[in-house]
Amino acid sequence: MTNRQINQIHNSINRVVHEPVRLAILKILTSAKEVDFNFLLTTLGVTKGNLATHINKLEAEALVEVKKEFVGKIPHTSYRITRTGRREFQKYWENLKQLAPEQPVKRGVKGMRVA
Amino acid sequence: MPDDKQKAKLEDLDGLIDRYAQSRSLPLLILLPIMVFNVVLLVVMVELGPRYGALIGKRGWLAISTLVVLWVLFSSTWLPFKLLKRYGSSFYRKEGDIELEREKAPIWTWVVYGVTFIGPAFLNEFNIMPVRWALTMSLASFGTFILYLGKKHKEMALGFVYGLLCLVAAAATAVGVHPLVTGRHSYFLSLMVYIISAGLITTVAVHIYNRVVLRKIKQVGLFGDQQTNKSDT
Repeated sequence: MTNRQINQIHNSINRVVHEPVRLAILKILTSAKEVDFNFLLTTLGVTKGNLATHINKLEAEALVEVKKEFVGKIPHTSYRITRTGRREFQKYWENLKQLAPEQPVKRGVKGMRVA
Repeated sequence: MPDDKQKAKLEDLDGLIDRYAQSRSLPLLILLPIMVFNVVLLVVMVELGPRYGALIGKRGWLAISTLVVLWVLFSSTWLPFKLLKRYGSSFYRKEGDIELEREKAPIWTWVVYGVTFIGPAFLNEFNIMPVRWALTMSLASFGTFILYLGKKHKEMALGFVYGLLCLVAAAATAVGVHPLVTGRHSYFLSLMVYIISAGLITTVAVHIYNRVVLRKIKQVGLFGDQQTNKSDT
């Protein structure tokens, strides 16, 4: 790959998707139909405030759709990825693969990945 | 750009989350009391049939029997899915809720399941089919249907264990293992014991698997151990 091509890919990268927490949120949302706030908290291990900020950013860019409702008297917020979100995530993932092609994965004992 | 390690973590996370979501088995406990209630209802209906049939007339008794059968079909097919959807997530409120993309099973599969599951009960009650074959047929129908639903609804771990246990029970009955409960209502009571014990074993086994997967997700520890760049947000 030439330097020009690498620069082109770098320039086409969506900065909103590029942030690691937001990238992980989108990755989770692409594999599910809908997830709620607590699920993202459990899986990502970030703080509530931090997660809310990232979600707001994704919502502002129309990458995720937020659904707020009441389950009994308890507020419940769930998220699903939008078409734009899915497309942007796919594009980002493709770019990532082009820049860092698949490396053969070394496996240690019990199938754990070796970093 | 995420480095190779982060990329590998994200790829791991994808599979782990899928397995975690598919192995949330505790909501299955909602279905067991419904099954017990249905078996008791059917036994009572069969028991009272000859006694009260004469009192309210054949038509009246036929109407009641039809209603009971319709209720059993409704409460073992459509109702459980509605209940699971409505109350299933309350078992995992602390961990959060996840819903996977699901493909609906076509209506004809429900009809085939209903007829092959309930049909043998009547064939047995009218002495057309011996209890051993009636049990085999119902268990095989239940097991196959659960396996099929598991595949369609992406609850593979749960459907696989439960369906497999029911098929094993069906095979055992077919080769001559005596029904668990003998005597009157052997069919209903044996079926209840098989389905509920398989249900409990599945719930516990799959729940343990689910805890292991959750632990792995937490071990992946994507961001719990690092401070994310807040300025970027």
